Amino acid sequence: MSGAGDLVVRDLRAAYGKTTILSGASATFPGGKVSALIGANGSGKSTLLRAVAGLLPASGAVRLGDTESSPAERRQGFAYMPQDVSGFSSLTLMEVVLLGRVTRLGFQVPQHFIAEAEGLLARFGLSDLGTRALSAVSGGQRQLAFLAQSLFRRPAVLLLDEPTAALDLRHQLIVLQALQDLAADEGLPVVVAMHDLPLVAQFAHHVVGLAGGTTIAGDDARTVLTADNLARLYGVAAEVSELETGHLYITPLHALGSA
Amino acid sequence: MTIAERAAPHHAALSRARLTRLSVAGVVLAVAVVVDLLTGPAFLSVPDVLRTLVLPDAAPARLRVIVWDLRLPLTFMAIMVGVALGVAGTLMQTMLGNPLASPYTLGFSAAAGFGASLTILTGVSLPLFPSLTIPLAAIAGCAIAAAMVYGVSRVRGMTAEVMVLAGIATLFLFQSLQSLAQYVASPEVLQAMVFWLFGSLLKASWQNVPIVFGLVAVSLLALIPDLWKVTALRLGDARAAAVGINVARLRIKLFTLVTLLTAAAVAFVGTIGFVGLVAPHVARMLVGEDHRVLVPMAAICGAIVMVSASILSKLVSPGAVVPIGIVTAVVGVPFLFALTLSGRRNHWG
Repeated sequence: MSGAGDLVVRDLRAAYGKTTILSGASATFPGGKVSALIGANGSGKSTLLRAVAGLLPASGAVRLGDTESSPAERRQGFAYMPQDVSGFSSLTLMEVVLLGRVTRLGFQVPQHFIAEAEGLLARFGLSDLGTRALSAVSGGQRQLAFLAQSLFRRPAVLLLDEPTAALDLRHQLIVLQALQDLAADEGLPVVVAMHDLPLVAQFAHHVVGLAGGTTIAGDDARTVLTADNLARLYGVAAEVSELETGHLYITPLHALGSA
Repeated sequence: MTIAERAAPHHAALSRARLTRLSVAGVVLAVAVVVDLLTGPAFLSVPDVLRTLVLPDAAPARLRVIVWDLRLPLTFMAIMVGVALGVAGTLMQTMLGNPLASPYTLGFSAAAGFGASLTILTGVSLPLFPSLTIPLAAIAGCAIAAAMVYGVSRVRGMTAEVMVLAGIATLFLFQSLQSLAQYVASPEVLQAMVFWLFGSLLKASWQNVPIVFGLVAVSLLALIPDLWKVTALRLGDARAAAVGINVARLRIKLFTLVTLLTAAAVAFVGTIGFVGLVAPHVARMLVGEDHRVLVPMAAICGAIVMVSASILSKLVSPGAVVPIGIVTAVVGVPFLFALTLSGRRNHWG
């Protein structure tokens, strides 16, 4: 599935009971690029991802390219990877990947499914761990296995909730590099909720900030990651400077206000 | 990648190894079944039993009755109950994400016991089928407990936490009612109640074995198309939903199947504990968590424990049969200890 176009979200509204989480969020996530979704804890990043994935009742429109996509179509065609990394199961990594197509597996798994899943494990350096239990590999390997599971769904859009939060530096880079390659190779919109701003600055082609239930910024990293925006998004004072190498450098100074 | 100190076997090799273990378990069960048929208070010789099994018409009437009408129904019932409890326990542990769950966790057995106790206490009897009175009361108890847990859980979205809480409440309610029934009963009635609660295969007959078989067969056939989805529940609710599963709907179906299987298991033999807890663990340690293999393995392990317990119940005191519910743990605990001590990996964190 390649070049499906941009993912466009218009006026998304969602609530848990009486608590409004999203009050009309709109954003464009370009196809073929990694977009970072940033914002404070509780700003609605996970809710936005789940609503786009069709896993949460929400009003508003979601378009992929020129076609509007219903929640049922999104549940089938979009891959969403939850944040939870507790993997205390003895399912093997191979079984975890296969479960990406759980609704289409049939009792006897077709041989070409297994070959395809093996290819994905190899892509993330997990070839030797296919029969290893989820509970017996490291957090980074677990995250890569779930990434392979998401790709095994052959998604039109990839939505990931903090895929690097539990990982060491090396695995953070492996995962983000893989996402960049994937977006470029397959032309998918890849949306990643992230907290680590230096990584955002380095890996995201496009950044969307969420605050107060709506999107307050959306553009390339350099335009969004400004001291003013960080104050609005996180309530912090920070210094943003550009290094000689061209990379952004963000120095958090102190929390603003009484919080 | 320090964990990858040695390459794991290939997926296909692992699948073959699991099927081999499943076959070995099948052979063990077959041997246990034969031994079970050979043992009994009548002290029949091995050749006599085998000859009667193969050529019933040529055997003396006394042998035919003992082997075909007394021993075979008991053995079949032991297999069916073991299968039902093994599968129900597996589904319960997977559905609730809890290694301590068993078919009885949500109060089904207590409710069945109360239904049976109430029938014994009041002495009521069905007009046409008096022998079905207690079983039907036990099944009705299961159904009422299931309806209570379902009713409460439905309101809050069928999550594991809500189901466990509603189930524990149901369990204590019916345990109290059961105690109350015992408290007001006369000594003779009390004895009948306690004997029912012990669990015994002796009530198995060619009338009730087909009923249990039917309930178990229907439940298993209904489960087969969903085995991959049940496997996905082991990833946790959020991930199962993310791969396209309607988790609440799947739980409702599994809940129904567990109710059917548990009712089938307790209706005619009473509450037999432990099998539904231990069989899933033994099976999981042997073949992992792909439920296409795990469910049949848990069924076979449950049947092995039940048939072995049946053999033991006939050996404990020669000439008599100890109620099987008393000895299932004696058979099951060593299995579980052995596997735990053999250093098999931890599946639940």
